[in-house]
Amino acid sequence: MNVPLRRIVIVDDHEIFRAGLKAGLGPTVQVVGEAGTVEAAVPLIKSLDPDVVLLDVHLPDGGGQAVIGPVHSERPAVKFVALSVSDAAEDVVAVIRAGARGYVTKTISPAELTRTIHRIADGDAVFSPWLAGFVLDAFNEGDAPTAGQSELDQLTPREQDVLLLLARGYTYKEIAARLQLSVKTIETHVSNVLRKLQLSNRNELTRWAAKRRMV
Amino acid sequence: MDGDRLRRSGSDRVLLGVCGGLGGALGIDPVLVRLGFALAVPLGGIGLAAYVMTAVLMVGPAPATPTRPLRARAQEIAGLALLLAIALSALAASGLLLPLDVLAPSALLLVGLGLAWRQAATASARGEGPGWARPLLLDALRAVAAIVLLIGGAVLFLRQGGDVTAAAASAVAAAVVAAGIGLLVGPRLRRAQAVASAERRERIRTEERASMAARLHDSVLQTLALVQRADDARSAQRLARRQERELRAWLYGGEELDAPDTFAAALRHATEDVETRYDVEVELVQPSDAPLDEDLDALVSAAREALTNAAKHAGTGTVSVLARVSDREASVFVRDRGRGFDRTHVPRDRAGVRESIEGRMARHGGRAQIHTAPGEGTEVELILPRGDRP
Repeated sequence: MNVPLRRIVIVDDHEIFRAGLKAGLGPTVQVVGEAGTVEAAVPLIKSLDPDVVLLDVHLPDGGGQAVIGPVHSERPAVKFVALSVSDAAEDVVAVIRAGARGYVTKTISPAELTRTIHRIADGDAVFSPWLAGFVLDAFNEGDAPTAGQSELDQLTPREQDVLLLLARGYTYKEIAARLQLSVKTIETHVSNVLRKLQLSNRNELTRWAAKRRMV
Repeated sequence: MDGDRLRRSGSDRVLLGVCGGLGGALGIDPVLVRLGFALAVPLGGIGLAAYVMTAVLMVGPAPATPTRPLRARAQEIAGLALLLAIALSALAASGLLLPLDVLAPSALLLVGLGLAWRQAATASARGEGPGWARPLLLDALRAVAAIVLLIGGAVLFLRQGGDVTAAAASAVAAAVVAAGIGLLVGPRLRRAQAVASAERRERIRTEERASMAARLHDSVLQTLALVQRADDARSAQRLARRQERELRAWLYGGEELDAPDTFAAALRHATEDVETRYDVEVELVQPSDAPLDEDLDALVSAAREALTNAAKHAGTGTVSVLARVSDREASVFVRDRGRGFDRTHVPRDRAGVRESIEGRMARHGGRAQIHTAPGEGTEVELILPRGDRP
């Protein structure tokens, strides 16, 4: 199988954790740089122009979202994945709304992380079951759709189906089989949900995130 | 703070309770203290001035203690006054008593100083506790009295001395004494206060540290000990996982795992139990929560049964669980990618599905659906409508 080599940067303030991540990634992923602070990460990413950045949600001085903003304006092709030990929903949602393409927990297996990096580099959005479940609830919470809400504030029934199966632990392939759709279509649905999560003005999104944590 | 300050005694008093209070604080019989004051009276009247100054310096009797009625001690007071009068006149006659024109201003100055000092002490002890508005008037009165007494004493000195240089000298001497007292007492007061608040902070910190240490000992340290003794990576992983959840629930949730009172906590509790018991890893997703009621409790029990089945029969190491709850509906999905089964050939010992899962859900107005086929894994869907409850 001809898998392209992905160049990645790891941003995490724990050196031991960075070393552990690096050791577990397969030969198809090359770590070209590491940073432990927001200050060091921004110029490093700009100069290295990697495919994917693994970004810790809990960085001192502004968190992961502080890295995404300045890089995005200059290097829109660089893709970010949020990594977290999974505690505050608020932080994870903040990083995703800042532009991250996905979210995985730090307990993810190295093989799974390698697969995630490839999928993100290919332009997919990556939702963990946790994130799918929470997004589903955030969009469902509150009242029925009102006239003032834009298309961005609503999930289509199909998107809800996909998210529900993702939250139940189904893979894209299993979802495609169950809903009798192609994997490509599932990917499109998830990307659309990510876009809505990033762009929606729905009040519930922030309010909902503020009062929840992930376990 | 009351323990640190001298109080006049309410119960053991003859005049103002000064000797009773002093004796109580020093651990001496008040009678001896009274004797000491009485002996100091002939020494130029110093005893009297010292008594008045001490009375001013001491705080009034504790509010709770009963005051000895005046009638009971009238005799003692009369006797004392008589003795004092006799002693004073005898001393005056023999020329041992200081002349009144020296004694009076000195006494005024002493009492004024005492008032000023006490004023400073109460002001610095302020700032803790509410209800400081009331004594404000009292403080002002006391300050005014102190100033009047000090000025009065000084004027008297000037008046009868006539000699400006002598008056200036005694004024300077008084100032030096006052400054000395201030220097002596001020820093000590401040230091005592700083020490007290540092001690309080330290005590709070120590208590916090102790409770955290106890908590960590009971949980993390025990688990670490178990992990060291675990012979395979899997059980070590399981222990670590369980500990991680517990620690996180404590750090961020503040919920007690032993007594779950919400749907999410109860389900997590059940999940952990199954994880430890059957050596599986459960991927638990529960974005929403609600207070636990009878129906939700039944849902948790049914979910636990489904989890146990998956752990026992699926033959895979992982189970995914999604739990959602809203005002309208609660649902739990338990999914594994294991070997699955054919429902038409369910052996007798798996009647648990029918009773513990489907029967239980039906009794609480819900339903259970089981999707499975050999080799396809199993998913149990538990749905509990909540909207039309009484």
